[in-house]
Amino acid sequence: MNHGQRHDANPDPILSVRDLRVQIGRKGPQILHGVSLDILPGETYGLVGESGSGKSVTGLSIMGLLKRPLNVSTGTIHYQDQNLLKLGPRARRRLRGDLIAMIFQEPMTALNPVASIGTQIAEMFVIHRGMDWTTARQRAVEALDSVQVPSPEERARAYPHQLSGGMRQRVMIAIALACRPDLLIADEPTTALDVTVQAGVLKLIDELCRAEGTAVLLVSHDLGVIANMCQRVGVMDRGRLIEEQDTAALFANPLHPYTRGLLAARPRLGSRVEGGRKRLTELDEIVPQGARGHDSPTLVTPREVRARATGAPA
Amino acid sequence: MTDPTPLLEIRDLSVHFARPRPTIFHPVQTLRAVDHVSLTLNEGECLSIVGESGCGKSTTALAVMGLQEPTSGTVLYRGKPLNGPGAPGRKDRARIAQMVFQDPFASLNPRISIGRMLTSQLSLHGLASGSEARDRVAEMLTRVGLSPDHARRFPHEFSGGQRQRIGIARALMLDPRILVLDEPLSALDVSIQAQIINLLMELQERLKLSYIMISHDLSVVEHVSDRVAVMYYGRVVEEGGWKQVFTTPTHPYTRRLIDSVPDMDAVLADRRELPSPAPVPDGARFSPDISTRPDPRAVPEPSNLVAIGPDHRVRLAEAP
Repeated sequence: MNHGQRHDANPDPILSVRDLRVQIGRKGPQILHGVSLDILPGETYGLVGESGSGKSVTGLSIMGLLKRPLNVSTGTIHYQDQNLLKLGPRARRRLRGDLIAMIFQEPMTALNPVASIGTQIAEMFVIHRGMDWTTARQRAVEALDSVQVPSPEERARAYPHQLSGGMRQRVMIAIALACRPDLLIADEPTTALDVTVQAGVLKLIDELCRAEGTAVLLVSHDLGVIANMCQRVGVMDRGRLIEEQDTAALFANPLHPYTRGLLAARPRLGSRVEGGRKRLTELDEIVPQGARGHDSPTLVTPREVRARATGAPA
Repeated sequence: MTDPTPLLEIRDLSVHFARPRPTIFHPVQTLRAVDHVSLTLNEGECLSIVGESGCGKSTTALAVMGLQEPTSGTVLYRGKPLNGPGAPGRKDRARIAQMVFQDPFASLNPRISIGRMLTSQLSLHGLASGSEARDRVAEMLTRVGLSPDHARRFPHEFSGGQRQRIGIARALMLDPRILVLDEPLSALDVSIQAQIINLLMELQERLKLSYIMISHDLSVVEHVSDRVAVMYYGRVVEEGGWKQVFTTPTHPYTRRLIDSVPDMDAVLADRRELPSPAPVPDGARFSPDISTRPDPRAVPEPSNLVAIGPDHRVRLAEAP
């Protein structure tokens, strides 16, 4: 599943986020404290962190799907020379699902329970491509076939509740990739799935996006998933991007103590054969005490950015 | 296997459900959620049951807890049956085995303070009351890594990891011998998971507890278990000591499961090698065939758990 290194020198990013700050209301606490990142064409960028670190909020900001009272206070999100944050709601909507698409964690809540699968995929072609419904439905069946849903014609007439979790997530992928977007934001796409199903869904995302040259922003808390899918990784903690590196470099040589803590806290398959049944390293033992109190609300405590990889834009 | 009577023995346990049928004229179909499962838990050990959702691992745990009446088979505690005639009542059962639930947000009553929740068990069982009960609660809270004055607080005042500690404290109040852990980590963040794993391992050692852990997280299972049972469509397909199962995974389903775990080391060492399987007798065929989805309603083909090494069994189809 691993792509290996990027070979081209440094192409222009298709999406660049600069100093993105998200706040609750006007005067409320900040959720994102100035996140900056670039996504290069065709790459898979992993955003990893724990709950509340702001990784999903970053993805939602790019999609323009933040719900009140969350709002972007400052910052820019540039896509194709236009600042997405300056666009009106109609222009945003035209872009959304067409050039920038999203897959959500829970496919059951993200799909419409009273519309058939085929209709929900066909809708994309009707809205964004101006097709008539008959052609669009045929294209929907093709789309289902491309995400390896068995007997696609039959399934196109099914409703979301009639499908298994893995099948629903494949339908979500079909909807997201229907219009061949430049960027796919996948927010914990396999967290609700079984491990064997997860492997299949990840492989599918990887293959389809590589074939179409779609860039992926993969939001996940699972370092294993990130390691297998991404070329570059950004680590988030409490609303800040604290480390950004090529995947191999990050796992070989994590710079920030928090990243080191995250990597050490997970037991790895096969480690017990070599090392025995040991205590696991807890994050507090690596990240200095006081820097992370579990009793205090963790969202807004500012912390110094200690290390950033070289080459990453500041 | 040296101990003649294990702490807990699940013997030939089956749980079948009648599937809803469109009309009463349709034939009754049974769903074999758990089908002839036999497992043993020895004193002080951790037995893990792994498998994907719907494989029957949670139903097995519920049957052990007495929360699900088995269709057939028995659960024996120190050789005495826990179900059927002559079985201990609910209050006695509560002191044998307790359960820690998956979701620490849904499994605590929001309207009752932690202290009241914990002392109520003691008074219900007539074990302690008044200041003595409060002392025992304070001691238990300290033991699970909380502070005694947390007893005055309510569940919403705690983070996910703290709530899971409360769930563990609740389960331990009656000093049970067995804890059934149903996906105890899957609702928690990575950094909190490590803390709870450490706590569980420490408590197991100090209180000489035995665990039955239901999990789909194979890295955690490998790390903490003594014995591992892999379930697939209601049946145990591979079972044995953790080392046997993880260093020589033999049933194709176990191999698929282990191979599916996204591994962070993969990025460093090109591709993780799946360990080679243990040798099986010539001409043997694994059961069930995992290349197709088995029909959970059909009567499964005759098969046996066959020993293929010391403390290592896999399910093979019966020779025709």
